[in-house]
Formats: sequence, C-alpha cells, structure tokens
Amino acid sequence: MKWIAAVGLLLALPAFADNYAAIKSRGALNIGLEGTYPPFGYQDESGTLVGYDVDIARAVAERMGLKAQFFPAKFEGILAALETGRFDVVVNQITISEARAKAYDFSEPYTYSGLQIIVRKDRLKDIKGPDDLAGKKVGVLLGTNHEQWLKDHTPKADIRTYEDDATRNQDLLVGRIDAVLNDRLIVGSVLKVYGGNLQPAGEPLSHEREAIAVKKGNPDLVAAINQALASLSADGSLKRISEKWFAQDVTHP
Amino acid sequence: MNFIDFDLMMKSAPFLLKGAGYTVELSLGGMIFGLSLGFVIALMRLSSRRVLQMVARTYVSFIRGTPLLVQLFVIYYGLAQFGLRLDPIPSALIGLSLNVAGYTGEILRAAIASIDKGQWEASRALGLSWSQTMRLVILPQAMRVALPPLGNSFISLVKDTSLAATIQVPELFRQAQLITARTFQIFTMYLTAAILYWLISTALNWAQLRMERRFSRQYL
Repeated sequence: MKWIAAVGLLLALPAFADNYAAIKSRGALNIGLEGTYPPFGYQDESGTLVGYDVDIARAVAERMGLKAQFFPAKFEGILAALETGRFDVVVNQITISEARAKAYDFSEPYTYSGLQIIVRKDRLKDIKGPDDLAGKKVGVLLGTNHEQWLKDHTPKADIRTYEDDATRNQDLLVGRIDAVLNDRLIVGSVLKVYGGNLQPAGEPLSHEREAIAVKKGNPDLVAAINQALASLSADGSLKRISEKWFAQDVTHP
Repeated sequence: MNFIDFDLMMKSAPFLLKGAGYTVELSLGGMIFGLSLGFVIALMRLSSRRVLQMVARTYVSFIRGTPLLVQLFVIYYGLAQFGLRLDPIPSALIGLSLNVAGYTGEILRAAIASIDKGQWEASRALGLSWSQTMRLVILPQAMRVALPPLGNSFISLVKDTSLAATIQVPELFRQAQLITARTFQIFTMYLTAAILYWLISTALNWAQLRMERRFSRQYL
C-alpha cells in the first residue's frame, strides 16, 4: 500500500536542493503552483494539470533541459515554500512587487496584465470603478497583490480573503460579497463558466507584470530561466501559448 | 447553473474514488500507527515510574488540547522551516497517527485499568510473566471494553483525514476542490464528497458492530 511507501520516503528525506547545480544534477525543475486557478493552472476533465502557467513552466523547463515536476500549494504559502526548498520556482502569475522583490528573486516578466473588478451582472450599474468599492465587501485571495492593491488604493473597501477562486466566486454570485478583484485574464473563463452572470466592471486597473519567482540568492538559476524565456519569446513559443489560452498575446507589454 | 449536475457527478467519480482510496489508506495507516503508539502511551500512563507517567500525560494533554488542523500545519509548513521538509502524505500520516495516539492511548489505558486487579494477581500466582499476563489475560478482556470507543475514534479519523486537503494530500475532499476549481459546481462536488464519506463511515460502522459482537460472544 502507498502509505508504506510514504513512510519509506520519510526515512529518505529529500536533500536540500536550492541552487542551479543541484537542480541540474536532479534533472528536474520543481515547480510550485496552486492548481486551482483556471485558466492558469488547474486540472482538466481527465485530471491532468493544464493551463497557461503550466504550458509556460513546461516550455521553460524543456529549454533548460529539465523535466518539469509540478507541486500544488495554497497561494498564501506558495512563496514561503520557496524558502523551505519545497520547490525551486513558482509559476503562478506572481506579480512583481517591491515588497516581494525584497524577499524573492524574479525572472524577466512573461505576462503583462492588470487588475479587473468583477461583479454580479445586476450590480454593474452601481460598481463602475475602484472608487465605488469604498464600504463594499471585496473578495480577494489571501496573500495576493490584489489584496495589497486594495489596501493601498481603496482602504475603505471591506476586504474579504478567500483560499481559492471557486468559493470566492460563489460568494459573489450569491451576494455575500459585492465585488471581486482579480487578474483581468480570468475574465474570459469567468464569463463562460457563470453564463454571463458575473461581469467585468470598468476598465482594467493597473498594469502588472508577472514573472517566475525564485528563492533569493540564486543568480545562476534566474539567468538560466531568463535565457529560456528569451529563447521562447524569440521563436514565438510564448506568443503561441498565450494565444492558445487568451486569444491574444499577453507576453509582451 | 444546475442545482445538481449528475453528469459531472458521474464524470468526476473516478477522481473522487481515487481520492477516497487515499482517505482509506490514511485512515488505516493512521489507525495502525496511532494505535501502536497509543498502546505505548497507555503502558506509560500505567507504569509505576513517575517520569513515564508525566511524559505520557503531557503528550495526551497536548494532543487533545490542540486542533488537528494546527498540528498538521506545524508538521507540514512549520518543520520545513527547519529543514525537515516532509512530503504531504507522510506529513498527514504522522499528524494523524500522533493525534490518534493521544486519544486511543486514553481509551486503552482506561480499558486495561478496568480489568480487575485479581486477574493480575491470579496470573502471576500461576507463574505467567508480565507480558504473558498482558497478552493472554488482560488484553483480550480489555479489547472488549475498548472496542466501541476505538471504533468511534476510527470513524472520527476517517472524517479528520479531510483536513489533509489543506496540506495538498490528494484525498477525497481535495479531489472535490480540484474539480470545483475547474467547474465551479460547488454544491454538486461537495455533496458528492459528503456522500462518499458517509458511505465509508457506514461501512466502518458495520464492521465495528460485527467485531464488537465477535469479541463479546465468547464471554456470553
């Protein structure tokens, strides 16, 4: 039975591997992502992990001559897990921010996006932009830059934090919260899944750049990732992956 | 959106059942390791050595006085900070086993203590060693007392394994979360998961009753 193997694993604790040399000798890039964030990373009908970030991560690993190994993690702890070496990189639409750049290293950006307010269709008339969020209940994922953006820009918003998209969107649908703030790139899948009952309100808010996050102090690894991204950009692979998921190229400013 | 999406229920069945497999394995593993450690705890509590009693009592008090969810987070997220990076399944197995040991230790202690002292004295007078007395005389009788509460512990354990979803173990509840993330059919998926937990618990309940009957038969 599997738990016997699990106990075996315990006795052979994986050694610490937090630099590029160790990754190369392992032959695999350990990639952290939520796995519950469509269309970036989620399980399809056959139970396979798919999504924009999954394709990007796979392509980057392949260019680096490594096997891609995915490790699901909750968003709130996903960057902290880099610290503990649970995985080498996080490919999960991690927005580059000043605060995060102090604690983690980032690759060159591979996604140019922005924030989008999403509301229930019948609320479109009273929530048109960020100013309308004052005093309203706004749902975001715990630990995201969306949460931070609200604190910085609309401190009067009543912020409600969630563990995943599905429960947050459900609360929006049933009216427990008034609005949701998320990446504008999820709008397509939200429109489809909720049959138009949830709608984007107003224009995308800020310009955000998403990149691959790495534990601080690994210049070799960051350089290798950047080289892979540059090569994928030059031969049109990034553009192809982006058009597959969003019908537009979001990999350039 | 449909109230209940039966089509999705059917389509997700293989994944939920795979998750249920982990649920059952975690439950069995947690019970086997937990019961073994629980027996040690019980013996420590019954020992005449004050130090052993103290250690066991503190352990039981800590385990029973802290939420399992917090225990799992300490093991999975907390220990990783000190370089002890356990994978999700071993973390869950350790957490559940340690937790079960706290509860079953008390059950076993009470069950062993409930056997009349005369049984010990008679066995020793007959020349049985301590371990022979424990194995042949005390434990068979104590098991009869301990079985009902142990069964309840086991069923609690089955339900508690759902907490392992929070540390990424791909068990039943986590599978439901993963499918919900794609389909957003919250009611359907969580209801289906609930029904599967119910089926597992019911099956265990039935097994428990049968075992209780078997253990008590020889004394009727």
